[in-house]
Amino acid sequence: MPEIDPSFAASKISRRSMLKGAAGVAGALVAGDILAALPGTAAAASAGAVNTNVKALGKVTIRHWDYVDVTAWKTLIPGFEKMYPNVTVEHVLKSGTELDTQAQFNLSSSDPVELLQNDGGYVALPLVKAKVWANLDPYAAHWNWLSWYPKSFLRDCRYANDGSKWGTANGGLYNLPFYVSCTPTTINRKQLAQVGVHQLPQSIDQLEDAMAKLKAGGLLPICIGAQTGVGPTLLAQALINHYADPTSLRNFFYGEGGAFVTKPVIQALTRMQSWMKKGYIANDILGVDESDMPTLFTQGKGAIMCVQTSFPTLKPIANEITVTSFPPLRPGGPARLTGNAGGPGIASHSKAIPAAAAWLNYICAPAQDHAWLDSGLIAAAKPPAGLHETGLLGQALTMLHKVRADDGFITYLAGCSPTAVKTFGSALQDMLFGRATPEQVAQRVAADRNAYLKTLS
Amino acid sequence: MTGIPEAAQAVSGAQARPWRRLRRALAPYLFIAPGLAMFVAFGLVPIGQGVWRSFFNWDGIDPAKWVGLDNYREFFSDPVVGQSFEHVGILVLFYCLLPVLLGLVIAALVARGQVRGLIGFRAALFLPYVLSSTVTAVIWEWILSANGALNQLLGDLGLGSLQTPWLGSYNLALPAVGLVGAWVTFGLPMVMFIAGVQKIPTALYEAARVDGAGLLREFRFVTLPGLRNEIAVALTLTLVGALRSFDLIFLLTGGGPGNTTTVPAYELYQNAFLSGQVGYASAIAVILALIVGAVALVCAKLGGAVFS
Repeated sequence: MPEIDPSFAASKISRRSMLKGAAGVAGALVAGDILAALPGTAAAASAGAVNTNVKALGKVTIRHWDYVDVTAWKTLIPGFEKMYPNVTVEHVLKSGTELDTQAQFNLSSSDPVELLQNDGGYVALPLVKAKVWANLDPYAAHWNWLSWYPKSFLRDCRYANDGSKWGTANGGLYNLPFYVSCTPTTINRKQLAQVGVHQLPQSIDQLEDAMAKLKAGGLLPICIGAQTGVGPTLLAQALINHYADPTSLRNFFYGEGGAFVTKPVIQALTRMQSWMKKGYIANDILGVDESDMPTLFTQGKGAIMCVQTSFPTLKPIANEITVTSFPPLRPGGPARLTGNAGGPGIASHSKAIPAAAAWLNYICAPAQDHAWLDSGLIAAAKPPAGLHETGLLGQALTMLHKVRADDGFITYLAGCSPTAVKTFGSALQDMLFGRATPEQVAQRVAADRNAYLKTLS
Repeated sequence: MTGIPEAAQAVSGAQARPWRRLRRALAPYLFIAPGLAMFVAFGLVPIGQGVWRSFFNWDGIDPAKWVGLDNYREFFSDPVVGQSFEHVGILVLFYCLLPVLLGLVIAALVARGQVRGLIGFRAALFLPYVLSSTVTAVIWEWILSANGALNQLLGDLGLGSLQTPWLGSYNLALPAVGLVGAWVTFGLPMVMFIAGVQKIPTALYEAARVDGAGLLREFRFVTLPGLRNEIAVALTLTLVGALRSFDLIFLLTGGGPGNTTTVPAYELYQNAFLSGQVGYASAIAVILALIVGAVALVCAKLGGAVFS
């Protein structure tokens, strides 16, 4: 089994999922008037009734618009078509921006595509509001989808049925993930060994001790780029995930109470700031593009890196590094991982919803985990017993196993509003360079979140 | 003999006259009607809508909610928008004053005599003005990035201590973007001033020289007054360009690091297309438009010419 497929453009996907395309939102705004005029469709509110009779559709083609360019489709499509000979799957690759800008127009047309990949959250909110995305709850119940994912992970895919909010704990399910976009921590064991650290840090204190030794040994402890501000948000959240109560963080993110200007959040940010002061973070990071971080890491410019999954780039040093979750506050503490669950949704007035749902069920099922792993993606569904991987993917699966057990997924805080990446990122830039306090960072993020919530109310 | 009685002809002429008069009176309006219709449809109506929306809380999709002057109150209490206007004040130096001053210097030199290869020189310096801003941004990002050409050159010259991430520096990012803006804008005033200088009668320069005027006095008493209208136009265009600057900021720094390079037009974009605060963005747009209009009027008055 090949460990990593080099064709997987991980950096493209990860950047996309963090930096939502402005053009997409612009398109959504323009489309809003048109969509607002559309009458609601029956499928969105069809919870309870489920039609899974694919054969009754006769000869049918389902179109799946997607940005995930991996080889897994080459095996999955024939497999599904063999199972349902009357169905043809037309998998169309588009850029993330194209998908975002065309989603509303296409889904509200008289001939919408059956499935459309989406990162969820505020980008998908207008689709639910306009009732052009189908509620998947009946299918989830029929095929037992909820058992495939940790509860915290699937919350990203839930929306209030009137489209007023997302992440609503008891909201409807509108998309289903087949892979995990997450931010593990990558540690260069070889560099740690050079300074006498032979065991992976088991706590944040141990991590900091290791960083002190790296610094004393003339090595740069943290690999980070901060040109757009995304890089610091990933490291900051890795810390915040452990300091703050995860439920409170999630509630803050989804606008269901929760708070961000709290003592634990400020403690986490203060610790990050201290790493800058101690020289564990280089002072030229504002000139380093976040997408260059994995490449810089492979060049030895930093021993610890928090960035979204980038296995193909890391392959040359795969034997010298470990992919894991950020160490907890105390050894043996719960595993926490920043992760996002975007995935395909189904057009509510497609003529082939049962076939589209069957396809979604097929590609997201645990049985397909190996196909995604073969393509270098971390499959989202709980892996079936006996699935074994080696190398970086094996490490990632081990990490995920622990995160699942601890229900430790926390969605990207920088995605809590359309401007949160910019707000959080620029506030952290200011903090690292002594122009803002940790309290001010927390306040700026909270203010941005509150301002966005106001627009939803 | 036409076969029509004279009385009947007189009546018919009298009846036709008002129609002719009406036709004559209507003709100019009919000529401008297509252009006017376009201007109303794509100029006045959107402006009116923008002003109207600035009184609403609207996310661009849901029904708008009347909030009166709340968006304007928010504008005056928003520290980031306040900063963005300070930044634009600094950009005015680069987008407007620097290009106009450089343009005047070149015009003064041209006025002193024949310059060989003037056309080629003019075309080369005007080129950045007609380049797409995306192309400009890509070129300058290559030059100014941490591993860019400028830092490599500094390293090669043994000036490694001066190497810095120009676009990622709190102190240098705004001047760096400003210099790129100056590079882009410079061509316009230069071309206008060179053309203007060539219209100034040479007799004036000859008279000044006979009176013993040197380069500076010649510039002060002949070139500068002769270019008064061109200076007013150039100041207006470059000043307005600075006030509504967006593309280079968006492409080069995204308003960062922190908010050190954000400008009003960038904040407008953020609020309209990312935050879903279309009403607030409209309020920013209205205030920006008023400022631009006021600046244009002041420039025109100072130049002593309302463009006609």
